[in-house]
Amino acid sequence: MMTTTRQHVLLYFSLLIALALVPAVDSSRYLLGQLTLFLIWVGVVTQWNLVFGVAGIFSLAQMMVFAIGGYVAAMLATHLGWSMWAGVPVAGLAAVLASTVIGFATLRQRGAYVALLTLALACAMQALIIVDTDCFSLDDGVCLTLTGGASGLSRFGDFGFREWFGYSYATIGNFYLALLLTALGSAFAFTVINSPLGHAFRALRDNPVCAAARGIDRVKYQVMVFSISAFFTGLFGGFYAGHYKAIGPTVLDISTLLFLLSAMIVGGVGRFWGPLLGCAVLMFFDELVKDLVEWRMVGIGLFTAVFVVVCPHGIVGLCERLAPRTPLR
Amino acid sequence: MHSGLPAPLLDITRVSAGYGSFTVLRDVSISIRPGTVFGIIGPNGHGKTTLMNAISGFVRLSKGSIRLGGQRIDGLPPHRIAASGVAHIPQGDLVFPDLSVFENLSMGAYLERSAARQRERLDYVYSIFPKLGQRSNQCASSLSGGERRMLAIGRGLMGDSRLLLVDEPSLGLAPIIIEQIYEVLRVLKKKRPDDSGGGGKSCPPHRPGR
Amino acid sequence: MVGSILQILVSTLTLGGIYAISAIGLALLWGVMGMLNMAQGALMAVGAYASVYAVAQLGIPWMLGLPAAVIIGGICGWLLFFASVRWMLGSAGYETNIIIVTVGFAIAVKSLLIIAFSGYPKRQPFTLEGGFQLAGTMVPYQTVLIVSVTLTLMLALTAILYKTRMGLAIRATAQGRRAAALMGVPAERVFLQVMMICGALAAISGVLVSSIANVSPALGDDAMLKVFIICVVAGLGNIPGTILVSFLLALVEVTIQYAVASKWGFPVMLCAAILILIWRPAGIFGNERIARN
Repeated sequence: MMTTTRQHVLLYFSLLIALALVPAVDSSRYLLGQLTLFLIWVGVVTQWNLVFGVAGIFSLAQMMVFAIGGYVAAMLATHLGWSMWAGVPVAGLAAVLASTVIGFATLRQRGAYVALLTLALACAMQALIIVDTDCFSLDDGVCLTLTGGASGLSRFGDFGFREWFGYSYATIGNFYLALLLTALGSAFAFTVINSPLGHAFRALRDNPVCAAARGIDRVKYQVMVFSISAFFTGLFGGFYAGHYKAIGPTVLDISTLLFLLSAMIVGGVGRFWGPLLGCAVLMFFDELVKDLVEWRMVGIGLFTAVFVVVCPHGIVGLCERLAPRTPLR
Repeated sequence: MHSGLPAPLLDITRVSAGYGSFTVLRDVSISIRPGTVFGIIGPNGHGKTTLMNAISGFVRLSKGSIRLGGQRIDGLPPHRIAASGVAHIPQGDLVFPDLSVFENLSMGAYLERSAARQRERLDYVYSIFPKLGQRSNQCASSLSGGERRMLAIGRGLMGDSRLLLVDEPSLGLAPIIIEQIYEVLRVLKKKRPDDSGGGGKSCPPHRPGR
Repeated sequence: MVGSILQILVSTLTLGGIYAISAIGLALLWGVMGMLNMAQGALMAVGAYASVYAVAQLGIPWMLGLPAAVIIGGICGWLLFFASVRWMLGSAGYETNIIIVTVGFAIAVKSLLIIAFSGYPKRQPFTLEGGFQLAGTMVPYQTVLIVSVTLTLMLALTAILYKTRMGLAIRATAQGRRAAALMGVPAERVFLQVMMICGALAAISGVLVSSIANVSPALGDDAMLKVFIICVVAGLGNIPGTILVSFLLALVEVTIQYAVASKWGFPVMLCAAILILIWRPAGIFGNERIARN
């Protein structure tokens, strides 16, 4: 068992290292741009998987936490002129703070109630950003609202790879940064899954009454995971803002949220490999049907629905059924 | 008409069943004639409830067969088995908590389309459990444990059943109420009113507590 | 003053009625089969287009647009049941998986609607022109039409659920699937009935929503979110509570729109709902026992 777990981790990180070699082979902006986005989504879904699949919190606030990170970094850059390198870690901390508050407010509830309440929070945040039209600061006589309102914030600085290494290296620099963040986030997720915290959650999921009787406080542990995992989600939010040099209320669109939720479930909820495989399959499928124009969304929708009906445990579950000697939670 | 011993009402032949790969029942054979009471007695965790669930279709058989009045019922879904004449009063009662006593009893007669027959059975249940009649509009979740057991049994008697399975009728009740319940089961064997259709007699194999 | 209060009341009745129709469908689905139906918005759009298509292409009178929507909505419920729930009920991860599956179908259906009817907004034929004066306030006939349709439906649904054998079986199955099977209730048929009722309700709700706005593939999206919030605030699965909360939240939304600004209606309603849920975790009328894990 120990050896198989170590093999899985080795394989996972070798894959990331293999990805690091991609720019040496093909450094087209389109490919690297898509891979960077892929890494961002893998990172976000990995943390969500920790909250959703491991801690059993039916949270739909993931993109809200992501947006909080993105907005904090963007607002610090826009209004206070902070560099992204300073803004992104602060974004992570702000996300932790916000998540702790959200966690205490929502996690007394269970199941579908948590889902709908967190979804309502995310929608409220989006609605409040869209109605934000009052001037917060002036930039050369141009009115800037606090959050940028419906059109969002843009025209702030990025990570500076362009200035340091020249125009063509901006994409490569961002790609490696995303890769580093994803690797750190995955290592963190793996540590949590195999820590006493992870065991406590397995106990809570398998037998809530018995676990409670042994002194495992569900709400306390859930809020803990919810807050800690928010750090990486917030980092990715900040990175997203810095990478695209823009952030807007569209990151809070339900469609983005549901795309990532699909990736998590298609990959395999609560499984270490789930986020990577799910994002890879969905983004690959999206590339495949891109030329179908208007039929593209029909294809994506039907593919996801039929896949989940046929393989309720995702790709990881399917692999385990086909080759049952490789279990890894 | 039949001569000699009547044909068995329930015929369980070499049944094995369990949950997943875990076998609970091994090679069980039981034959029950109409008009009799059959008791299954044993300590906890020895498969009494599993046997009843196998009869009413909640547990799949891995081997063997179950016949009711000569017809095979194993493999049918639970609602079809209920329709073929098995009334199962489950352990833990499973009354419908937010339905009234009257509605719970009506559910027991779900398969009976004739309103007159339903009315007749309802009067019968109220006559053996007068308390249920007094509480007919009350929510089932507001009943005491003993009343709830009476409701579960009453609900089981509302249908047009040939076989009555009663699982742990005395579990968790005060001794005085257990006496009442057993009295009712005793009376039942004699004067079930409407066995005209089936030809068999109602047959409650119940399990006294230890 | 009296005029604006009357105006608010009229708008609340219209909006609350539309919300209630859709919310009852969702509450039923949750109560009976633990299903959060994210395809509700798409079903609403399908209903609205069914009415448009039937009136424009088949030439039937505008009044019959609603029955046409009911039939198509019911058929969609039937299809959705056999394409998803039928195979998933009771399996591990059902509650989350069903969300993804219904979302997948919703995306596909909405895209199909765009392909078939183009994304341009259309006019809903199920409308009455004109209105009458009441205490100095203009009450459109359309409001009267919507309120009478929703009231009739609520009465009919109450009658079905509380006075018929089918309704009794639906409520019993919601409270105990196993016990209902012991009574001889075929669970699958009950689930199918509920899905078809829910599809029809969503379709009607879609026709009514589009009659005060426009017919477009995305018409159900905002409404669906509000309706979900109504369901949780009322306590998932509680039907009388759901109806009450529909009107309550419609009142909040309409009052804010009149008193402050129309753009604040939705955010304030959301915040009110969030505060209520933090105060009462299982909704106003829910209790902890019903809150599923």
